[in-house]
Amino acid sequence: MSAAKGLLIDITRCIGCGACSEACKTANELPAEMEDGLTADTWTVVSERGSENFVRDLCRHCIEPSCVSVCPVGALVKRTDGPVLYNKDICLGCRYCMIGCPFRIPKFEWHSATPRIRKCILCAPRLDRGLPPACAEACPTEATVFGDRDTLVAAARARLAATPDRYHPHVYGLTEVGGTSVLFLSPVPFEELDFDTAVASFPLPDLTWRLLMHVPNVVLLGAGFLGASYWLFRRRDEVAAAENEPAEGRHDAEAGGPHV
Amino acid sequence: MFERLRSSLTPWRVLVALLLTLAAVIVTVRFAFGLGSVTNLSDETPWGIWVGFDILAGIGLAAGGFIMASVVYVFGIERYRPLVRMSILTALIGYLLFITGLILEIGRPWNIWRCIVDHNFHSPLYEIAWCVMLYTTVLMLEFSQVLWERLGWHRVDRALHRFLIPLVIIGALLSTLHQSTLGTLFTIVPHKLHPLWYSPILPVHFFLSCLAAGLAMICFEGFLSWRFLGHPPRMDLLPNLARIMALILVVYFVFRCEDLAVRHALLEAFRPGLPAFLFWLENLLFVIVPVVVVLRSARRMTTGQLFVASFSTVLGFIMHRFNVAVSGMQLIHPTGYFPTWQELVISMALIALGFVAAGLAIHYLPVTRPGGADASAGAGGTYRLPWRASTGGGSTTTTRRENSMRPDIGVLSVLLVCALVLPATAGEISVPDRVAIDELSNLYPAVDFDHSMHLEVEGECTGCHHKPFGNPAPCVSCHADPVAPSAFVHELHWEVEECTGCHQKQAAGDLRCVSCHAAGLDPQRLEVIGLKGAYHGLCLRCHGETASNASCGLCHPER
Repeated sequence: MSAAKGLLIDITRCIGCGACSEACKTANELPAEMEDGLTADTWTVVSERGSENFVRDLCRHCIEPSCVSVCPVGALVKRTDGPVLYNKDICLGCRYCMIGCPFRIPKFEWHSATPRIRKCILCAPRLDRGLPPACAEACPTEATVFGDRDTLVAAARARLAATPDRYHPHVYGLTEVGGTSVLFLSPVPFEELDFDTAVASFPLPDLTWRLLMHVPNVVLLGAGFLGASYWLFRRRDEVAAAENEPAEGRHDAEAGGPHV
Repeated sequence: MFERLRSSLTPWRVLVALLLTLAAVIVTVRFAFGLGSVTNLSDETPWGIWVGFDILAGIGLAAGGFIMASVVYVFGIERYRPLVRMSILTALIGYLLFITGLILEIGRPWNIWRCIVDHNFHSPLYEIAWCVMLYTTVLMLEFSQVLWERLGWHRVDRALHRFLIPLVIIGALLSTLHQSTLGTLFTIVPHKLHPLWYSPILPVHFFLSCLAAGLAMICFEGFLSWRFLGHPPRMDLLPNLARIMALILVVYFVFRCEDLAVRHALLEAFRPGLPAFLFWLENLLFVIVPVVVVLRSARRMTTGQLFVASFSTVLGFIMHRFNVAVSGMQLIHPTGYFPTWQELVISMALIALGFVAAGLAIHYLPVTRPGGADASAGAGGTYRLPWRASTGGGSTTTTRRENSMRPDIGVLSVLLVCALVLPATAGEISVPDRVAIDELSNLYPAVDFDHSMHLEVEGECTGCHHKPFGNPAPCVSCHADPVAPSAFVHELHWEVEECTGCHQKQAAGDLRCVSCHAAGLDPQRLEVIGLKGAYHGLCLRCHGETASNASCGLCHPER
């Protein structure tokens, strides 16, 4: 696998033409009908937020994705070259990925008898053929560019440094939830564009893992505690029985097993 | 024939039959046309009442099974033996209903077995799936005693009896794990769940509350089987359970308030509004009403008081689970979810199914008898300790113990563990004892920082940290990330210097755009826009700045 890839989306360059969304539909063979927000059939949209700021919405392909971490069967996987991919054949349809995703990206086929989770796949099949994702290829203004994530981070920083007046000094996705493969540059503070700026700056799966890692401890301590309690209370009753009625008590103790 | 049929048609039975028929129709529609056809679930609200009520609350209310089995078999508090079978039956029915509900709830139930072969140890749901599978098996084995007894297969019964203690201990461990892990499910969404319900140690909240809910359900059932089956409630035992429940509730509530205070969220509970209203309604039902009722009942508790205390706790508990799974998320991101009538019917049908199953089991199996391999010999209120079961006689000690108050030591020690160990564990999870400061370890040796000591000196987290406790923030989240590589301002230089003064290629006479604006992303010139962007940028400078007033067709004819 090659190095981790990603997308850099520069909101100052986006003109809201929607070519990315159309190209996505074609590349992923989705129904052509364009919807206002993300759905099972629309994996990226451009919407105007604030005044003349066009913002793309799509899966961020987190470096440590919550959806991958929460899926009980591992139906979602993070590929080393970036994409977070879904395997319908083992998916239970529990939709915990939708709850877990900090960006509310995964969508579900609510009106299907065999529903799937649907979302942007960073055009993984195209990456395999050495092509960039369809959206990046289609973007006329290079508002969306594709490349190695490290290169994109450097590019974002270079743009911020070269024209600081043009940008809000932050790369969204650099540290959010521990970093995402999709990075954003904006002319205004991100909260004005409805970005969730309250998300943690560490990988969210840490929160569940630091609890789940205690499972062996709970089992061992619990088994010890319950086993010891059982032994103690049993012993106490046996002693009490032996003291009360010597003859019968001894008989009981013999039949009771090895713990005398 | 008709006479018999007519006499068995009570209004309740007709109602249940109608409800189950309606539910069957809804289930058919759900499997034919998808979840969206019968529920108000959507991409905005992926989990609704079926998760909040049928699954989260259902499992918690079935906690009585492991609690009573541990109390009697492990802690040897024989007095409560008459309640064990009924609690285990309730738990078994609860878990079977939960599994039924789950099959309706998940989108691709034919893959439900995948948990066995496809592993993800990082997923709380994976842990829950395994625990529920194993614990349901344990419950079936525990309950099967009743079946063997009914069939008169004493050899099987005795063989099972030998493994009863390990089974009970395994059951208690599995329950402790998945009851708390149901809370862990929501720890991964700190910014999607309202702070009055979110906590990084939600599993502790879930575990403590399920202990109270399990006990409440046992008391509530005592009342139900009195109303519907005519078995008088064990007023010699149930009030004690209600008192223990009240004690756990107090521990739970104090713990929860402490947790809120530590995370600076306690004030939210006193800010007028819907969140505070839901919080207080939930805790009024779950904690305040039952505790007040139990305290007022003093020494003699009436069946009425027992009913009010336990029913209130059950309601409040359901509300807590629902608030975590649905309402608490809605408060942050309102989606206007309200269950459809079909969702409600299915939930009610599951409850009805539970009643039917319990009724049948009690009717056909010796559930209400005290239990133990030779329980029939111990008629008259003396019950054997399990390890005595295979021997004759020996009832004197148990009779003596029944009259003493000592057995409560076992229950108290469980409580003590909850009250002391769990909050301590919680502290250990949230506040590191020592911290290695090693960001600049390439320049200076790493610092081993005594975090606990400084916390003690400083008194509060915010003495050093900007962000409140529970949201660790590395320095870069505030100190802007672009550490400028250079402060080169191109325009400034352009005014005083000709292009060729700096740019080699142009000096050599190569003035094509592509010599600067690379066709792809050029790692050497990251601050320079690429070729396609530069071209379109030139167009847009005159032809409108947005797509709506630019005309692509001017250059790109429609194909």
